[in-house]
Amino acid sequence: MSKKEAVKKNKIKQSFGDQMISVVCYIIFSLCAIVCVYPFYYIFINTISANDLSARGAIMFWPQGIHLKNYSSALGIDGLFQAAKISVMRTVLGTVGTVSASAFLGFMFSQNKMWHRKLWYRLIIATMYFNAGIIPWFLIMKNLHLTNNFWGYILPAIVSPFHIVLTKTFVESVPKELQEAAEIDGAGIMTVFFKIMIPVIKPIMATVAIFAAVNQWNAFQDTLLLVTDTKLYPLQFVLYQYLNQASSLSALVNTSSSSSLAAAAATTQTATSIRMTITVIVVLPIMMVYPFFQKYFVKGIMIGAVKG
Amino acid sequence: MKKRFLSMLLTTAMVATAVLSGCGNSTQTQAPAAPASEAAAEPAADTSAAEASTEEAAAAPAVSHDEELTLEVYDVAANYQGLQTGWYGKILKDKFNIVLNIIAPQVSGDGDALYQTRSAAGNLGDIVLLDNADMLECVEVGLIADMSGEIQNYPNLMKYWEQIEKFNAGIGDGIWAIPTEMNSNGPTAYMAETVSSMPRIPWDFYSELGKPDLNTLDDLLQVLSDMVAAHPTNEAGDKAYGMTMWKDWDGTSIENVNQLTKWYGQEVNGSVLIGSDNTIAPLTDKEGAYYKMLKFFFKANQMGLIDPDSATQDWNSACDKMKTKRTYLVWNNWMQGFTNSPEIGEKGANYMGMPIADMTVFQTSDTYYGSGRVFGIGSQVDAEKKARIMEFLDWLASPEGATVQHIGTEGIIYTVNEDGTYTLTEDGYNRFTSEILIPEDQGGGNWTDGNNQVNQWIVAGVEMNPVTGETYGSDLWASYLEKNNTKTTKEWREKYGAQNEVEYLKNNGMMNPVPSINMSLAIDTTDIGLIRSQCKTIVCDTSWKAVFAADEAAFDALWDDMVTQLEGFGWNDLVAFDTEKYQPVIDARKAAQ
Repeated sequence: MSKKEAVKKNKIKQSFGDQMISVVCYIIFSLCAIVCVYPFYYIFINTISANDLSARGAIMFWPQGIHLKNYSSALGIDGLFQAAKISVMRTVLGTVGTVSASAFLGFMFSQNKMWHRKLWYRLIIATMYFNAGIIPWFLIMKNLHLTNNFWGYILPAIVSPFHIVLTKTFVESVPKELQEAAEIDGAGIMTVFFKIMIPVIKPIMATVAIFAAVNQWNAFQDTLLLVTDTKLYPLQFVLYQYLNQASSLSALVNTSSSSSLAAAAATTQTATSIRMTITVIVVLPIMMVYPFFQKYFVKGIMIGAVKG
Repeated sequence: MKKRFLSMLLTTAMVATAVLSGCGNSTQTQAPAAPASEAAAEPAADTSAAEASTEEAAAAPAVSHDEELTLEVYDVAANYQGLQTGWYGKILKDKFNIVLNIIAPQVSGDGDALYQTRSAAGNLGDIVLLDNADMLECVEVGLIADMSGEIQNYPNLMKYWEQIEKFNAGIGDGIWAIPTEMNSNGPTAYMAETVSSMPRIPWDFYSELGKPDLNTLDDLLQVLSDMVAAHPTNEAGDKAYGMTMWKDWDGTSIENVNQLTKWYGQEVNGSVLIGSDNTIAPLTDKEGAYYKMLKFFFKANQMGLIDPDSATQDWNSACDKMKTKRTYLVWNNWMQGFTNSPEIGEKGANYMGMPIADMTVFQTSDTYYGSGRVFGIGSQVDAEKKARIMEFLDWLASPEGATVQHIGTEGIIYTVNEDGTYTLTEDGYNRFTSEILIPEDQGGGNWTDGNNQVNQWIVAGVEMNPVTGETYGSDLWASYLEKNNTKTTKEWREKYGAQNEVEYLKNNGMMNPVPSINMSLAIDTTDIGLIRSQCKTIVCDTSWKAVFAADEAAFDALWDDMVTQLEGFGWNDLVAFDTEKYQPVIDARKAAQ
C-alpha cells in the first residue's frame, strides 16, 4: 500500500521540465544507439538479401529476396575452417595465458616482500611507453624461432603491462587482513594466491579475460609480419585480405602500364556480398560473448580505477 | 609544493612523449639496409658467386624433382595471398613438384611493414616480383641473387637477352632482374586492334540516331544525351546513365579523368602530364588535358548524364552497370569484355570505339623492354633451389608456359585446329565473365580461382607463339577475330573505312605509338612523398567537387582555389621532382623514335 503511494508521489513530483529533459535524453541516446547499431544491421541484411539488389545499394532498411546462399558459399571457401580453428585456439589459449600471467604478476607486485619489486614493476611499465619499432621486434621473433609458429601468437601477448596494472590495483584494494589472517593460520604464499586471492579477484580476471580475448580474436598484424604458412592464418587475416582486394586493385591499376593486367585483376576481385558475409562471420562470435562478460567488464574497470 | 610541481612536470613529459610517439613515422623510408640484413646477405652472396663459376655453359643443369619445393613468391602485382591452388597449381606440381606460396603486400594490409621486416631479415622471398625502383634498392643491399653465371643455359630466357641485358646495365654488374611482359616485336610496334582508351558507345543506339559525325567532345555529349533520352532504362527496367564513375582507383588525381586525358595526347603520371609530343606539363595546366577532361565530365553532369552514385560507388558496382548496359560511355578497351560478346555483336549492339575528329590519342607501344616490374631470385636460396627456380622461370618464358599463363589448358579453354592455330572453346570465351568449372582430375575449382595468381608474365600476350604462328594472347587469333567479326564490326568498318580503330587513327594522323620505355625511375624522398600525399587529397577532392559543381563559375572557382591551395602545400616542388623523374623517359623515347 505504502509502496504504491510512494510510487505515486514520485510520479507527481517529477515536474514537466524534468519530463521534457527525460524525453530529450531518450531521443538523443536512441539516435546514438541507432547510429552504432545500424552499420551492423545494414551489413547483415545485405548478406541475406538478393545479391543484385544489394550490389545496387537498394537494400536500406528491410531485407528483400532473402536467401542464405552467401553464407553457404562463404563457408565453402578454402581454408576458412582451418582459419576459424586457429582463431578459436589462439583466443582460448591466449586468454588463459594472459589471465594467469596477469593474475600472478598482479598479485606478486602487490607483495612488499617481492625481491626488487619496484625495479621489476618499473621495467614492465616502461615497455608501455617505449617501443623500438617493427624491425627490431621482428628480428627478435625470428631469432626466437617464433615466425611461422603458432606460439608466436600466444607467447608475446602473455605479459601485458596494462592488464598487470589493472590486476595489481585491484589486488591492492582487497583488505590486507585477509592475507594476514591466512598467513597466521600457516598458509604459504602459493596457498594464499590460489586459495584466497583467486576467488576474490574474479571480477578483474573476467575483465582481463574479455580484453585479452578480444585482442586475440582481432589480431592480424602479427600474422601479417610473422607468418607465411597458410595453415596458420586466423580468420581475421583471411577477412582482411578479402577486404583489401578492392584497394589493392586500385593501386595495381594506378601503377600498371599493362591494360591486360588491370583487366585480369578487375575480374578477380571477390564479390562485395562475400566480403560482407565474412565480416558478419568474424564479428558474430565476439558480439555473442560480450554481453555475458559485460557486467564484469564495467565493474572491473571502475574498481581498478577508483582504488589506487 | 615541490612534489606537486615535480609530478606535473613528469605528467607533462609523459603526455608529450605519448603525443610525439604518435607523430613518429613507423615506416622507415630509407633503404631497408639494416645492418643485420647485410650480415645475413654477405655469406649468401658469396656462395652463389662461388657456385656460379662452377656451372657448365651449354645445357641447363638437370635438377631432380623428387622433393616437393614450396617457393615463397613476394609479389607486388598479386591480388591474392596464399598457396597457388586449382588447375595452374596442379600443372606446377605435376611438372616441377613445386608449390607457390604467394605473399602479396598489396592485399595483406600493411605492405610497407611487410617489405621492411622481410628485407631487414634478409629473406624477401625465394622469387621476388618488384617494381623497377624497388629492385634497384634490393640489389644494392644484397637481397637478390646474381644469375649471370646461369642464365646462358636457359634458351627461353636468352631469347630476350637484349632486353634483359639493357635493363640490368642500368643496375650494375651482373644479371639480377628479368623484366616482365617482354616481346620480340620491336620497340615501337603496337599489335592490338584497339587503343587502350577511346570513347566507346553502343553501336545500336548510335545507329538509331543516324550515326552523326563526332567532331568535338560536345558532339559526343549530345549523342549521349540523345541516347539517354531515347533509352532511359535498360531492358530490365533499371535506370541507365550516360556515364558512370568510381572513386576507388584514384591516385594523385581521379583515375576516371586520367584515363580520358589519353584522348588528347597526354598521359597523367603523378603530378605531370606527359605528351605524345614528348612534352611535360604540370597537371594544373589550364591548357592541359586534365582540365579539359574534367570540364567534359562537368558538362556531362550539367546535362544530367552522370550517374549520381559515381562519387560513392566502387568498381564492383560500376562494373555491374557495364555488364547490364546501364552506362553508355566506357573508355578502356578491356571494358568491352563486359559490354560486348559475339551474340550482342550480331544484334549490332556492341560498344565500339568512336574517333572524335579533334582527338590525338596517346598510346604507348607494346612493352618490348618490359612493363615496369621485374622478376628476381632471392639471394638466400641455395644452389639446388636456385637451379629449380631458374628452370621454372625458363618454363614461364617458353611457348608451353606462356600459353598456359595467357590462355589456359588445351581442351578446356582452346582446341587445336588443323593448321596448328588455336580456337577458343565456348568456356574459353567466357572465362572472365562467368564461372567455368574445372574437372577434379585437372585440379578442380573454378577457372578464375585456379588461374595464375602471380599476375605477371615474363612474356607478353602479344608475343608471337612459334608453335602456332599467332600471338599467345587470344585477342589477335584469326579464329577469335573471325568470331568477333559481327554485324557491329561490319557496320563500323563501313562507316569509318578502316579495319579497326587503330588503323583508322593511324591513317588519319590521330595516333602515333609512343615507344614504351622500361627503366628505373627515381623514388620519392620522404619530403616529396609527404607533399604528394597531401596534394593527392586536394586534387581528388576538388576534382570530384568540380565534376558536380553547380555552374561554370563555381567550376572555375574550385579549380583556381585548388591551384592556390596546392601551391601552399609545395606543389611546385612536386612538379619539379616529377619533371626531373620523367625526363630520362622522354629522352629515351626521343632516342627510340
